[in-house]
Amino acid sequence: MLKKKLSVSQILLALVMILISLTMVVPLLNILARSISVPERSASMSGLEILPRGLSSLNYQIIFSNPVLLPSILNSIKITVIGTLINVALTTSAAYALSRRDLMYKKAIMVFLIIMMLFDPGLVPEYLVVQKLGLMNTHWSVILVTAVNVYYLIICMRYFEAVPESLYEAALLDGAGHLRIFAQIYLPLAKAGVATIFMFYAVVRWNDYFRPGIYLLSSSKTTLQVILRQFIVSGDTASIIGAQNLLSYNEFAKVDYTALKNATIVVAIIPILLLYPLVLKFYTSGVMAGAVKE
Amino acid sequence: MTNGLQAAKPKSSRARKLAKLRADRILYLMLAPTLVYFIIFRVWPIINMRLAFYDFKAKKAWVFAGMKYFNTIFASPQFGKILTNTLIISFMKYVLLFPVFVIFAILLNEMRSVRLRKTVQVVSYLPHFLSWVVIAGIWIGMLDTTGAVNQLTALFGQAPVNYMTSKSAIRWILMLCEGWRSLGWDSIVYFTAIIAIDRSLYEAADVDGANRLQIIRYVVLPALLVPMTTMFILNLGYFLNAGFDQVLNMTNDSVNSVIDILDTYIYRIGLEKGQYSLATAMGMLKGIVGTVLVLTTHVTSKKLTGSGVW
Amino acid sequence: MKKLIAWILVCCLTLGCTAALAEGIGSPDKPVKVTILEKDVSPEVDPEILKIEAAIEAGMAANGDYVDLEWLEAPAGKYIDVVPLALRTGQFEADIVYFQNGVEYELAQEGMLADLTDYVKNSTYLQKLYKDYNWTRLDNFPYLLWLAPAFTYTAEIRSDWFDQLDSKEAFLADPTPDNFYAVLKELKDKGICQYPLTTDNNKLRFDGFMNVAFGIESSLTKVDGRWVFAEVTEGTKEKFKFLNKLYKEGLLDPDFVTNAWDSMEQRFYEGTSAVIGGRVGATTKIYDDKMKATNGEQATLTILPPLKGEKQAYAAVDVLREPRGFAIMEDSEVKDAAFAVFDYMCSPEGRKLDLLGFEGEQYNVVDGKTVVTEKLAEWWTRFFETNEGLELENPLAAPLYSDAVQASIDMSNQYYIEDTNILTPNELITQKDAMTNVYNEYYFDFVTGVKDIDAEWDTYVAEWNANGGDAFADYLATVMK
Repeated sequence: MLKKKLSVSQILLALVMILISLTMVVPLLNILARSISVPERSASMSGLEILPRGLSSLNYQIIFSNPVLLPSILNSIKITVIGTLINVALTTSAAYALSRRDLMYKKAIMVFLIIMMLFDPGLVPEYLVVQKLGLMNTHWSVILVTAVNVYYLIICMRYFEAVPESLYEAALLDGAGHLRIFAQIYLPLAKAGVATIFMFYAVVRWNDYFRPGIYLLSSSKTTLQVILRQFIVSGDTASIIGAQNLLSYNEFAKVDYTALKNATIVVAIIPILLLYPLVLKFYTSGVMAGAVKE
Repeated sequence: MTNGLQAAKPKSSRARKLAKLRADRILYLMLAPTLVYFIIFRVWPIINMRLAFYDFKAKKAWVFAGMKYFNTIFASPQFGKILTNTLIISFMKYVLLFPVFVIFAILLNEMRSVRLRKTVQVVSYLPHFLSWVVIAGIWIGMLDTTGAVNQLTALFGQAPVNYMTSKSAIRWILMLCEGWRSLGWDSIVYFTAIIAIDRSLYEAADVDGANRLQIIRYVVLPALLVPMTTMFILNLGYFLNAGFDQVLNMTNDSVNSVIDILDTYIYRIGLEKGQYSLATAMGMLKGIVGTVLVLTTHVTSKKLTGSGVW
Repeated sequence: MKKLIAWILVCCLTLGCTAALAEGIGSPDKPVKVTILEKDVSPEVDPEILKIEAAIEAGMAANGDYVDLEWLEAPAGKYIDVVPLALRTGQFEADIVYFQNGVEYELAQEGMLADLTDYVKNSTYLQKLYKDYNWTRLDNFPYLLWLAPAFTYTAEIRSDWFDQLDSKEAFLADPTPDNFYAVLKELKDKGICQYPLTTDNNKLRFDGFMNVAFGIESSLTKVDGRWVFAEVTEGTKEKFKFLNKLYKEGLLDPDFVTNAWDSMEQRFYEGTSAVIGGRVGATTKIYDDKMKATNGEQATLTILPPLKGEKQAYAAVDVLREPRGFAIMEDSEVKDAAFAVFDYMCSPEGRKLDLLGFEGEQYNVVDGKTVVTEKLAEWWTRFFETNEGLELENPLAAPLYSDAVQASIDMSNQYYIEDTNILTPNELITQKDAMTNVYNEYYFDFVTGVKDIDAEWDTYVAEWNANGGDAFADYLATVMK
């Protein structure tokens, strides 16, 4: 009797979850479907259709005919990879130090960090610093300006604090130094947490358009999001397909703008989706349990 | 304190401090890059925020302007309204919406079918990878007079309504939309906390004959208390932000008066109109209010529940 | 030491000046370097630009002016945000910079832009293309150069549909709002399209052809001895009532507030709607071309005249400053050479290059006639939009603009009136922003009937005044005659 009731609630739960998932996946499939449909027929597609109407690569041809697009994807990847590695390295090592309960001046440092988090100096004061450091129009400007996020740093501290103190003490008694404890105990034990932080940073890096748009002045240095955003937000067709291509498409009048935008969205999210399998690996329960029980 | 070597040699407090600092030098070294980063890329710009008291001059020394820009802000006919909007929207997003992410994480954990759970998880992260322009496009399309929502209500004989232009609906739409976008993502923190729970606790509860609700109440929720407190207080730090990108992309003439927030205002006046000093002055006000808000909540929380941000 | 440097400087200056006076600019082996920063135009995204640089240099050299022209790489981010910031912080240096959306205002205030009055007055070709409104703008704000038809929006409809209408003749004979209403009504009643009139959130589109018919003849008018903004005059009230009627009867696209420019265009090309407000000249050309490409030649646009009330005209044209254009930076050391480039581009040769491109590519000369090729469709003017000043030895075989586009330009000249307005001073920027927001919100509420126009009009005016109308009234009293 009890078992049956449980399975009913399980079915109900599953149904609710599937419904929620549908609201998320349908719009995306719609975007994908519309971007690969034949332009003449895609314009009248409703937001709920998830099957393409015919197949055409025109939208993608137009996007990739922009000479700046491919380099910008490479730039985005470079900034995301290097930037995220720096993010994670700084954040985890600082979080480890700050998760030591007896660290002197911890309180003062925390207050300092909180103030750093809350005081957004704004564009112009930051711009002047980047300029003074000679970082303008280099990828380092974007990478360094957002090297640590206090919000993620504190989340990371929580993960490290969840590692049992007994392990730390045991390692100390074994004569291990902080670096070894950090690398051999904390990082592996909190790997679900570190993976989470990694993913958080990577997505923010990949999606950032504001700072790259301001600091990376030349089109050879710019990132994918800057170009896509110019197109999607300002409807600046010239930026996505190149001014000279804009007029050269005899059939351009027939191009479905929404579908073209959808294609740019697809191009922008596919690379970051590749992170998925990597991160999900860490999300099996009991990752830490085994180690903790010794 | 747990260091046995140290405890063996009692010293004066000052000498003990020094010894402790020396013993922990590696820790400070690990902290150093982060601190240096903040000093260069945050403290220095914050010093530059003195621009709020100066007239910006291109390539020349700035001219002292006193409280001029602060006075402009307070004299602005909209400032009160914009501040109120910001606080209301933040309250909806960071307080009303807050439990939803926790509940979602718990429900995920309750799912028996691992494959289905993983699928739901994967899917629920998807919206977070979309930029706000795209999300706004999807929602506006769904909610306008010919959109899916109106197609549904038409079945019940309702006349079509463009919800995006409804002053009473728009803030709820912002909240729902934020929830939709962050449901999976913001529950990650709680979910990782849940899966970190020692299996033996579940087993013990099982042996005691606890049902699912009791397990949630006595095993899962306690494990979530710390991340919840942390996230809640950290969110307070964003209380004056309320979601610039979202509002910018979802606003329209009809509803702008109820969702115009500080950041959209700063962008409009500051960057688009080139009033750099004015924008900086507003940023400074935001920073001060935010810091006070978070630090007081932290202290109160520490007193009441024993846990805060640190 | 200081003295020596001073002397050297003086000598250089005198030498430089006399050299410039005596002959043209620069010398064959030492051309003067001139740099340009322009939106969407740089070698990286526009390979054609190197050829254009060479052509301009050669053309100017033939007149004895030696310049070395270079388009700088334009930033990839949002041009109007990034460029002013980069210029004001000294990150960018350029001799000529293109601006739009009024972002040059702060730079002008800081003295970063060169006063071009004397240059224009002494120009050989450029001033010939100057219209009255250009001269007034130069007086008011002497920092921007722009040659284009007046910045006017006009109603446009696809011809194949317009020709079917019984109400067509009556409207063309007497384009009153009532007859315009009849046209829209017929489009709807005959089932030709769903929402005959559409727009996006750009209010100028309707203002352009409606304002004057409802008695809105300038941005500022004197009512009972007091200067007030058009937004709170009876004319605006009448305009709201008219739009409200269109909305109630389903003649106006109900999603007009949330439409972006692309959804508006899409509704237009695909036939959900039949009439939109388009900017005369180049933009109308794009609409016309796309409409024809989508629905065939017969769908070419008909340009409707502005609506007629007591007077008939397009909305008053702003003469405070050029709506966009090129500035020469005050810090530039080669201002003369920079301006010479503009003047050259206004000469017959320059106009030919700007409008027609290169012989053998964008056009050919056949039997003494200039025949444009298909490739001209890919060409656009890098400098000035105007199609005037073109004096070809071999006349064009067919006009450059289609009848529709030319009609839009001609009508904008025919129905031209000048605006009365002021530039918003910095201390009133937040008030102006607040007033605009109040207006925008009531615009929507009144047009869609959320609020009743007669009942709520006074509330609206009171709110307008509280949000800055009163503050402006005091200011206007001091600056307006």
